[in-house]
Amino acid sequence: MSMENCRRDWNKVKKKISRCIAILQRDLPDIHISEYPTKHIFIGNAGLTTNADESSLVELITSVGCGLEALTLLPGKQYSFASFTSHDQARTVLVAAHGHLGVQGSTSPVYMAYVDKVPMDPSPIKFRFPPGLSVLEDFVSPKEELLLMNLVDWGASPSTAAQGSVLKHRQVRHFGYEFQYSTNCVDKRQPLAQGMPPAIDFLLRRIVDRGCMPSLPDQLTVNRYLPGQGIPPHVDTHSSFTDELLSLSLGGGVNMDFRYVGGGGSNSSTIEGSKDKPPHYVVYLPPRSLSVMTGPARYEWSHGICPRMTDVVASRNSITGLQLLPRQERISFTFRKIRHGECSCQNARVCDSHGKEQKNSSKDESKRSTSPYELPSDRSAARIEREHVLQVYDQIAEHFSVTRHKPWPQVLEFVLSLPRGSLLLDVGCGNGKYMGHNKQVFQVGCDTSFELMKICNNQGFEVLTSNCLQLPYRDYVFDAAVCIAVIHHLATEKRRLAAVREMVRVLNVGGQGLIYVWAMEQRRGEKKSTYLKQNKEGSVGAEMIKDQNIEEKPSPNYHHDRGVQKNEVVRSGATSLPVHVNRTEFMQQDMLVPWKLKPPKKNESRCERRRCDRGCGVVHGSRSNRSQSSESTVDSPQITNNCDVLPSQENVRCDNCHSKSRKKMVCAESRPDQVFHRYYHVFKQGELESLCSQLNVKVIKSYYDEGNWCIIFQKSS
Amino acid sequence: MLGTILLTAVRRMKLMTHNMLTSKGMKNVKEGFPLKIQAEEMRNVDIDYDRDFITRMIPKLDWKALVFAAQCVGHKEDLPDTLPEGYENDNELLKRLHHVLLEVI
Repeated sequence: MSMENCRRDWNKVKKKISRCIAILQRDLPDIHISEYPTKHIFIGNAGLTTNADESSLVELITSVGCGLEALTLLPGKQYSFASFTSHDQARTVLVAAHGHLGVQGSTSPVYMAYVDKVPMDPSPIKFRFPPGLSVLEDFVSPKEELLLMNLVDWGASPSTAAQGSVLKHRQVRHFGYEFQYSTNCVDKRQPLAQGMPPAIDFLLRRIVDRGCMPSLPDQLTVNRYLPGQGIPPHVDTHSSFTDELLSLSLGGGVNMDFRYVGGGGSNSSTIEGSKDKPPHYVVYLPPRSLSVMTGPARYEWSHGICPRMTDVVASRNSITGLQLLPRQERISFTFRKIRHGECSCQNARVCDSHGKEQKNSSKDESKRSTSPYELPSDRSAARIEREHVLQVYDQIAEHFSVTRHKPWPQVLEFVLSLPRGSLLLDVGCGNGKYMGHNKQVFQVGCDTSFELMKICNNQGFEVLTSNCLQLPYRDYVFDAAVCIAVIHHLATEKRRLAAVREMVRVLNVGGQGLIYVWAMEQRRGEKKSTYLKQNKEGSVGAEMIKDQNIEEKPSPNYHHDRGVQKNEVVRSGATSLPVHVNRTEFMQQDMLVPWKLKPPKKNESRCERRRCDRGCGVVHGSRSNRSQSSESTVDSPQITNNCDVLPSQENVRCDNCHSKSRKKMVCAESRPDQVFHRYYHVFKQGELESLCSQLNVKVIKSYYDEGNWCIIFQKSS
Repeated sequence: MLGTILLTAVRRMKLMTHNMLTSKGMKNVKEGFPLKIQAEEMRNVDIDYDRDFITRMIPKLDWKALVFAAQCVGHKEDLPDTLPEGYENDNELLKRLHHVLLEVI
């Protein structure tokens, strides 16, 4: 490289870092850049918003230096900070990496500068023990470790589902009693035929001898985690097990995350409303160690393992500092003892045993029974939405689009009622089902799925790809906005509220908004919604329902005490979510709804779409079509399958092409179908109103429409 | 530059739509308006001229942003720098606006 090139490159690096520093100075004016080496390095272009994380940063830094003491990553920021034990160590890393090396997955090098201090981490992740946790190292010898690891033959499949299964993210075996992941408890009346294996007698005795448990444990769960696998944060049900929970790590070590949930575990507003995030500690469990959770660690802290390939571990040696350990296969033995009688912990907020005595009187309790999984943090909510909404819609876009054409009459009525010259926004417009009907208005739309936006764009609609939490439009610009079947895909109340707030922001004063969400209540008095009715109509429908489960069970099996579907749980990132059985009533508010993908045929897409031209008589047309259409939807597996929407309006418009597509569909039957899971939070009566009551709007009308809750509001000022 | 990032998410757009956009929601953006346009390809479509419709659209526009955007894509079409009084009677101007706002994509 010539001198000039070299200089030009260096100028570019200088320019880049000064731009990063300008951002830092705007965000955090208290932090000053230092010309001379300090212990702290500012990394200008690697942070949480650039997809850098602790692992990738530790990997980069430890590849060129040592003595890394701490990393500070701030939510929503593109930069991060690294702190070292000495100036020299910081200098070594800066000289080697600045302008030269990039974090994994990034194409550009990192840009660094010395700073006098680092900001206080708003969500401190600390290498600390929660109260009540102890880790006994070398609880078993390497020889015993080997013996225990070979105890379970992971190749052979278990004879009954109760004895073990392949979960989405790991393999598991149960002894003594089956641990049910949907509820984090056991059925005490049904001990397994398979008791504790005799080969571990020595271990059980050692547990009691060393005082880890007052008497012999009687339930054992063996989990096998491969690198990259994990377990969502959970608290083992108080009523099911006694005070001590033991976990023996074999093969590989792992970081276990502990999060405080005692301050109101199931109440989202307490967790999310306060600025101080609940504490989050990380504890490294080395191989052959036994961790003992008692007291607060057992009852008031959730524990879980983040699915990743590596762990950032704080070493005791300050020279080596933070280290990155690649994960290895880890077998964990979890020992528990079944509780007989009620739990004696005093924390009514987190204890299910406590709640039982009060007979479901509190609102907290009823909420917990419908949401067995822990409410996700904002970050894991975003992740659920990415994995179980955005990515799914991107993959099913074409198929979704051919099953979604008939506008719902009352939504269309709203769109058609808008006066000439109105500006109308469709938030989450999907395949553009409500676009282009009213010629008198100028309509734009957006959706988070790029693939669906392509479909809209090809039809000449004015759309763009955007998340509904951050609309790219000016304030006070639209005369009306619709948001149909969108915000039930957001995973926390805070985010659902934020979406409505965004919608209100872009509305003009006096502008009206219409929101539709899927209702928890699929029955009104004696009347069932069309979604439920389809279950009874014809055998095809019923078969399809059975088919939808990944792991098929003979009949839906409900746990009546808690109103939780036991069938299936899919673990996604930080949370486990039950899977809904299509065409049945909802057993909980938050769940995954299966979508069975049938690859669409070219013929179908040709006949299905209106372009921008259309008449105004569609409302009446679709109403009169109803009786016919309910018949035809049953025949079409594609439609019977996937309706989160009014199924009666989902049929293909012209009979001719419908029968054609039906034939195609039958051919497609023979191929195995891919099943995707979409996340939903179904709304209870009054929930939508409660969201709107927190905003600057006047509710004009709220109503129930075929299994959906709906609201029309007007922006007040 | 930020505008460019945002608009890569879009394949085709009318200037009418552009006029409603802002990148204010993005981090570190204060005004975020108007967005610069880098048009790779432009096309004209025919939309029936509707004088009443276009007259109703005008008060909703940010005029400066429109002139800026029209310039960006080489369709300034003699748009005045400020919206003249009595525009509702200026049929020529309304026709030009109809073209710029709705027919260029």
